[in-house]
Amino acid sequence: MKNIWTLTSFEFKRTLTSKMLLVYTLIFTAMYVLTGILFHVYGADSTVVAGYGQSFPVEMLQSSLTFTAVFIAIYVGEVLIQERNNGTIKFVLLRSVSRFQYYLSRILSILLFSLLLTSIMLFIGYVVGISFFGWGDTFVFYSVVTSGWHGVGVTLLAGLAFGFAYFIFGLIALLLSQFIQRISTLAMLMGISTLVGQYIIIYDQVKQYAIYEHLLFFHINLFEKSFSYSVTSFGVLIAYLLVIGTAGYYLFKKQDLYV
Amino acid sequence: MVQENNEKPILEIKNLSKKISGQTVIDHIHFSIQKGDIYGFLGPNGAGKTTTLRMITRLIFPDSGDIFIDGHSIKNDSVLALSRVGSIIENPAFYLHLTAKQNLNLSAKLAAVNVPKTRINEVLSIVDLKEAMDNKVKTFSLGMKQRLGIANALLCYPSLIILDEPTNGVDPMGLREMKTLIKHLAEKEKITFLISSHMLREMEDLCHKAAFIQGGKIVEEGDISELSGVYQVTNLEDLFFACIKEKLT
Repeated sequence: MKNIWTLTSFEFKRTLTSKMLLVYTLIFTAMYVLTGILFHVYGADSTVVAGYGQSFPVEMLQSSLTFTAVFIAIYVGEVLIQERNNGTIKFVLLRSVSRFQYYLSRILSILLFSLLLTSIMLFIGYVVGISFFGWGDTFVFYSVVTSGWHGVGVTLLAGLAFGFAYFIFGLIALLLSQFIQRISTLAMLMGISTLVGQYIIIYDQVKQYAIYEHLLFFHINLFEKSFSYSVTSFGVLIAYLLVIGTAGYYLFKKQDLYV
Repeated sequence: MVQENNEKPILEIKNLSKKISGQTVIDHIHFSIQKGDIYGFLGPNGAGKTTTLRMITRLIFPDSGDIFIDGHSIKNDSVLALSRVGSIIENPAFYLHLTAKQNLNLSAKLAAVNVPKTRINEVLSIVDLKEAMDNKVKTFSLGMKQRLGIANALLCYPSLIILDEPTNGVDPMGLREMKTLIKHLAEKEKITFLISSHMLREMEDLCHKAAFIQGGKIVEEGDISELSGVYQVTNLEDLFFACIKEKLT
């Protein structure tokens, strides 16, 4: 347990001080500012937002699908592929750290990164949204129309759901990273998969079981669909977590590391 | 009873084999190392030295056979078996954005044994890196990284240190210091060393015993002075070639 905590906190501190996080923040800021400008120029019909500062952050989550997916994949590459390529994985494994502890620390690091990235997006959303539109008197997010703290609560809950779906996506990337030598290959593969994945979810029979459906809609369906639908969606994500997490660990456990 | 413990090997390799991409790279090797030895693991490039050391440290897994460290099977209890092993495999790896001290701090936190903070300064002093301890590792020369690697290997009060080509990138001055340090640690701290190298002259005045590996097989093993007598040679280089030649013919 001590080793898992040490490795996870080390990774989290490394992420917080990394230049990449600054770059991601700047990219999201540019994207959000551009949306604000487009709203002012072309109006609500040409953008995905309703023009209220308080609902701007949650409205913007879905539009960041490809960026967020690629950033998660790059992060996964950093915590496993880069560790392998730089040999720092042996710095850790030559100490009394088991493969289970190491792999679990990677899973927890991806969870923290997903939540951190979502928090940054929400924070930028509030700053840019308020700057462009003011707080506004209404919170509008699909059928949810409210205001004040309730809107903040909806935003946070949607953010949690969004972050959780991307964490599962990160676990898939973690499993694949065991077969891939370069971070850029993994990022490209995962990025392209989100583009292709959007076509899979046109099939109603399978879409609730496809991760891409949850990347795009889990945080929305939570408020739009029935309670049982949301429970099933959550169950699907938990099933992904258990199956992909366990399969990834067993692969890693047996993997020869020529480092 | 004490004598029995002294005779128990600190490292025992039994019938170890490994295939990589269908090719046998380690072929049923078998040797053991007694406590306090400085043991050379000698062979040409590609003979299987690093592969064997990677199997000892559990970075890769053998197809058959087992390894025992201080009596603990690495298959059944790798964490306990490796808890008192310090190692540098191929080259020392560190987080380059951290200082030498920060790297050792992290290493100490991940150790199975309790490592007091003073131990970090102690091992940095031993390898003469105390003045550079607050410098980032990315500014270190290869020789400094090797010394930091030894400091890291020493951190957890090891009973066995495994060094894979430790002289790579070390200048003549550093080489002399490293040899002195290894001899000092073996004599005073009673640490056992397993050192792999193809640099025979550097190993000559360091090792008491050696295993010679060629094509994944141990071609000869034992006390260097005894083997020199058997092969009627006067130095390690001649012994090495005599062993390899013997095997080839």
